[in-house]
Amino acid sequence: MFGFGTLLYVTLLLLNAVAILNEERFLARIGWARNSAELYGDTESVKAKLINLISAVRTLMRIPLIAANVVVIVYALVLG
Amino acid sequence: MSHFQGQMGGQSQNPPMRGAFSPISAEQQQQFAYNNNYGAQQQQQQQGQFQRQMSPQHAYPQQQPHQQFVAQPVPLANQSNPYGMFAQNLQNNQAAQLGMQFAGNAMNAMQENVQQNVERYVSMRQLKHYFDVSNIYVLSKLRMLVFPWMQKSWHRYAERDQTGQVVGYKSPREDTNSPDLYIPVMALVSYIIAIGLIIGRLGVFHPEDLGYTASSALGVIVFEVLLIKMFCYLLNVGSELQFLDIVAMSGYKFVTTIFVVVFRPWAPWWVSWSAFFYFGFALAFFMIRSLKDALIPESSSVTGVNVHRKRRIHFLFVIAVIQLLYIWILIQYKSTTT
Repeated sequence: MFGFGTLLYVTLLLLNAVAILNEERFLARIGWARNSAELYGDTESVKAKLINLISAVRTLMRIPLIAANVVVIVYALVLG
Repeated sequence: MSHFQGQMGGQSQNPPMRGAFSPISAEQQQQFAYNNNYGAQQQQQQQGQFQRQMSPQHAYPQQQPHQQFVAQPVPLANQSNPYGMFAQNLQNNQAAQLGMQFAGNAMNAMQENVQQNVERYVSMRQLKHYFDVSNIYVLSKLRMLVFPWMQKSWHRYAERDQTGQVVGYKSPREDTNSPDLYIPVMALVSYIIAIGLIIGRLGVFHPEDLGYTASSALGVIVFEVLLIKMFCYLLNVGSELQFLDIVAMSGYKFVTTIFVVVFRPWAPWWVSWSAFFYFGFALAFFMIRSLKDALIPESSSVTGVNVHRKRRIHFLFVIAVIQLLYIWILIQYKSTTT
């Protein structure tokens, strides 16, 4: 019911969701932009770390996510 | 070589152990005759150390006709080597010995290579620290998990080197409060087997149910470790809480889950629910007390780091209460009669 494969699918979907957030259209609107002025003094608050985490995921994981998505799509197509 | 002198002096050898390679008795007697004769010659030839691949030994077997090589003398016979008959064939063949040496070197090289590669991901020395347990430790840890209020002190003792510097925590053998990985591994396997037993008792067992249970249990562990790791990153929890510590803490829930899951099929509903809540809260209490020192330092000892004290207390509370959810997930086994 709550197996390892399900966990992999869920993390893949969540990472996809984080990766497709647009910087200027969405994050800047709600004040979670990367280069906002409020971050310069305070790199250790929860919000700053969360913003760092999101931007890191978006920068680093885009290309591996493409590969992982292709693998999962092929797997789902072939094996149903 | 005292054993070798004994062979010469007594002329009475113990027969080799009858293993898979022991010959039939006629050949064995022939071999003993050869052995006694060969012993005399060998004593004169080998003054020094006794080695398996020694060149003076080669001169003798080459005189023997090829079909008698089974009955050749066995210097290792009186060491009760059951594979003595097998090994001597390799001794006398030079190419085989070269092959054996090469294979030995290749094995060593491969082993070192694997060791280095594994060392990069998982530190073996750290793993050994977590498996360094004793019986008393296991019993008292289990008692701590089931009756956590009986434990008086939850403080972890720090390991100090010669100069008094703190280099880590004491191993589980010396410190009952230190987390280990032996109990979680054993509890995980016992949990999988217990679920298998219960499903079998209900008559609906399939072998792949064991795989499903294992996958589910591993999924819970991975999810919890990832969650705690993410919270640690967000709240600036640094090296106080190691990765393997988190895995160990996450694995302790299987001990209580076993206790809960054995009640479910055969007890009335109120017994199983009260067991669930009792063991759930016991586990929550255990987690809170164990992680308190690591996550919530006293205010005097932390400098320069934004501690988020209130957030950490909330985080600890969330970790503890979510254990109940994990136990609930883990006791859902597939059966027709729930």
